[in-house]
Amino acid sequence: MAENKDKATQKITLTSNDGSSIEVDRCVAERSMLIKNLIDDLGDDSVATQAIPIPNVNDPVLRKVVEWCEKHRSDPPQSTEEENDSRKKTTDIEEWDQKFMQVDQEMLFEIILAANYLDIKALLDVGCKTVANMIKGKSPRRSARRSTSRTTSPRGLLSLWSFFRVSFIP
Amino acid sequence: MEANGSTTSDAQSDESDLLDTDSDITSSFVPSQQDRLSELPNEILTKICDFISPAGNDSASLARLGQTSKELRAVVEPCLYRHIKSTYLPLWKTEWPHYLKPSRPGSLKVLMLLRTLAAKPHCKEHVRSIDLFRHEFWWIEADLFHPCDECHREPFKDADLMALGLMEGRFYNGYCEHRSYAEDDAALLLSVAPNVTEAKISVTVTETSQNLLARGIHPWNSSNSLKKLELVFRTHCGHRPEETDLNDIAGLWIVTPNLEGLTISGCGMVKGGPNLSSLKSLILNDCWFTTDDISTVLANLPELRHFKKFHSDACSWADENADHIFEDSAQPSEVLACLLPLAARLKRVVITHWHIWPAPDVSKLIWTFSQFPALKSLGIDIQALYRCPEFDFATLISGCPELKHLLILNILRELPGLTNVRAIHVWKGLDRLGDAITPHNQFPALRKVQLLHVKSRQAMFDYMEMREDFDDVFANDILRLKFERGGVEFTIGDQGSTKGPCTQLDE
Repeated sequence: MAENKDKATQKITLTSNDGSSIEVDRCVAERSMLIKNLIDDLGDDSVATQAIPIPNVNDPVLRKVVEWCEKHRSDPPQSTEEENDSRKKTTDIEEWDQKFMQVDQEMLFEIILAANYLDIKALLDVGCKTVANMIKGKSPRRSARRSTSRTTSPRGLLSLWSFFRVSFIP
Repeated sequence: MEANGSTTSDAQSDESDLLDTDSDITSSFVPSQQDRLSELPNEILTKICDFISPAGNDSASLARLGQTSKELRAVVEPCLYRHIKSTYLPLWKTEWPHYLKPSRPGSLKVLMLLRTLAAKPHCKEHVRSIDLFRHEFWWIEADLFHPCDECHREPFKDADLMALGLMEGRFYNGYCEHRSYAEDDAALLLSVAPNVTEAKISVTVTETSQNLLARGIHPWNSSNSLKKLELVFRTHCGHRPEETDLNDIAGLWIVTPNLEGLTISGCGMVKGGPNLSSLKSLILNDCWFTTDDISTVLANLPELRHFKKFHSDACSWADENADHIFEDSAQPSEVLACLLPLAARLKRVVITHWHIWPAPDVSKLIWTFSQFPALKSLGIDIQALYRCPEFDFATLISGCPELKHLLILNILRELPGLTNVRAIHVWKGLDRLGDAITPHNQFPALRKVQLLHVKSRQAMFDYMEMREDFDDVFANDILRLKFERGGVEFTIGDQGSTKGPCTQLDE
């Protein structure tokens, strides 16, 4: 019993693709099936001494994913196929998850990709439901333009200016 | 020269700006969701599409997404055709313009779908489930003006021609003009889509039974992949529900050789049991089957493992003193008696019966349950049991040594017009079951007991009458602890569906 508790609170270091490290509890990291399988394969000792590289995820996204895993650390383990089917029938999202997903769409897509890579089914579901809710009821034109950046980046503004200058200024 | 030079360099920088600008416009100025969505892997896109229209509920949104790009269309298309869902509205509703827009009436929608499947044969492969709900008062004009066998032409020929046409990827326009039976639509869809695993179809029984479901879908495709079928019987042309017969759609049974789950609603009788050799689960909802009918059906189901009978009749439980009791089908104990030949192999039984009058014969019920030694899951949804003081859970399950899960529903449900109902003996029965478990478990196989649909107000009244230490019962979970000490998970609550057969029972 005590051993299990120790394991749950054991610290594990994750390294994102831009080199920054995040230390998390083992039970939090094990929300990811990829990391859980990795720990099972490598053994407790090597994980305690070495950082686990997450090459496909950058620092801000990894931090968001860890934040979600922290919040859902005590959730029951991933469900069976039948429950997955029933979950598919609803696009309801918990309030906390809704707020969590209120990010710009670049980040939203990054989170979905990270959840897919790290094999966190619940987070992937939340991300997909969020996108599905955004698409629902939209016309094709609105659907296509839905994710157009509302705040145009400086690079975008420069491009816009260059475009106008070339097009309209003699 | 300087000016010229400067002009040249400005022009060059303008050119380079222009080149940069072009690439920026496409990459950052006009980024569209479709581009970003297209970057996602296909399995994620499929998942998103599943959430957009989980069971064909919002196919319009999905179709609109498919219009945004070719790439997305390729992903969307399998999801779009996976669940076919359509409702046949009654004629007077379809005449109203606002019913025509934005969605067409179901019948026309299905015709359009058949046309699409004829034109795009690859889409047939994607269809997995069909749900054609027919409104009680839906009929088509040919049916209305030339009902049943008074039709002056032979409408079934059009259906046959249509079916043959679909086999060759052609749509036969004559079918739209002279279509007579909605069942033909379902039969055609079942025939044309080879991978359908689930279907829910409304069947209207007519005297002629000339529809494709009655005559069979052969010589066209058999629906070998169909595993789960739900049939909702509707009456028409003055028929009574009791007169509907399973064999009115005899043709369907021939072409569904691998059917494993069958749910039937609103059917009345069986002249001869359909031979469904692979059927494992049978659910009868609101069926006017007598014990003879049930015996006839069960006689031809050698693989049956799960049987559920559900009958609700609102008028019978609205007023306890009502002298009008709708002519009922078999009583619970009689249904169980029909199941006796299958007793050795049945592992899961749910008996639902919502009549509160007359009260079931408890001794018969207990005796019949004792004849099912292989039973592992038992669901009891017999409302009138609250009126049986001699009812005892421990005695009920004593004849089922392998029982793992006992689910009790609706016994303590607060009934409309019956708020004064006391069901102390139900609590006493549970207490006795707890006592049988706590000191030395008399039911070692039992793992889970659930008592659902208990409204707290009624539960409180009953407990107050039964026990003085009422507060302790809820505060300290006395009842729950009794079970848990014996290693049995005990749940009590008001959750679960109160309308319809219980679905919470473990497999």
